[in-house]
Amino acid sequence: MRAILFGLAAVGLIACGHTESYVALLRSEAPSNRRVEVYIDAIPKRPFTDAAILQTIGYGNRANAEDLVQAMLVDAARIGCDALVRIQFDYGSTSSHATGVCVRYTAPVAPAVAPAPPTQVPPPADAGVEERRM
Amino acid sequence: MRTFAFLILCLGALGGCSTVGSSAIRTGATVLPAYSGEVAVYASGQRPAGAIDLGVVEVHGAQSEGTVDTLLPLFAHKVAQIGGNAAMIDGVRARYTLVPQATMDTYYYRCRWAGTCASNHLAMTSGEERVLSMFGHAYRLPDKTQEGP
Repeated sequence: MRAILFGLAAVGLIACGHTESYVALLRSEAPSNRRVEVYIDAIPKRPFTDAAILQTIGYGNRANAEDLVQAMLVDAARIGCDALVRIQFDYGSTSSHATGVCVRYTAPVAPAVAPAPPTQVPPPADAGVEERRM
Repeated sequence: MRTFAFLILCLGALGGCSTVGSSAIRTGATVLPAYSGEVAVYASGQRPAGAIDLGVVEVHGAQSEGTVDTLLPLFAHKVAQIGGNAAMIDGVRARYTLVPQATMDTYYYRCRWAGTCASNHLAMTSGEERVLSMFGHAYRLPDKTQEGP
């Protein structure tokens, strides 16, 4: 019985992990309950201002991109950001690392512009002329 | 006198052990004297309009010194050093490397006269080191647009 408990404790210790977060503030904090959007390969279409640079390091079973983003989202909400942009991941063998820029929107979404109708290309002058093969 | 010497030694030891490094290289034709005011920071890739590119800046630190809150003030300082009033951060990346580490292991054994004896031996292992690098450009903005993005 004792051996089983020790085994479980050992597995628990091995399976443990944690994250460390660091924040370089560029604007003062303004906590909010807004949902923070995440942008990795793109940037928001709304104009925004930089609020902070976030850094998270994950260890153990939290050394993965999903947990790193979750930790950054907590910091972003605390600072009062609308979105996390330019998130970059770097992986080591025992820990993982992510940085991102926390931004606040400065204007509402621009109204969607209706797509222009396709341009009608006039048919070539010789259209309708049967191709002749020699 | 002794206190002063001790402080100097401490500062020297601290300086010698720091992993933080930095560089600022002037590029292009514009050469300005060092700037003494506040430096605006642009981190999301939005280049300030009308800015003059003065050079490239890089700062880095390892392990506990490799954090954004440690490196950002130094980055801004290096930008100001080459005359910039706006810091454009192009990227913040971590690099992981395996470094050899010497650790002292203590082990105990039964010895003939004293019962239990202790001894040490040096063991070579390798540990992972994380180096964080923050890199970007120094810009000079017209005075009216010194506010951040």
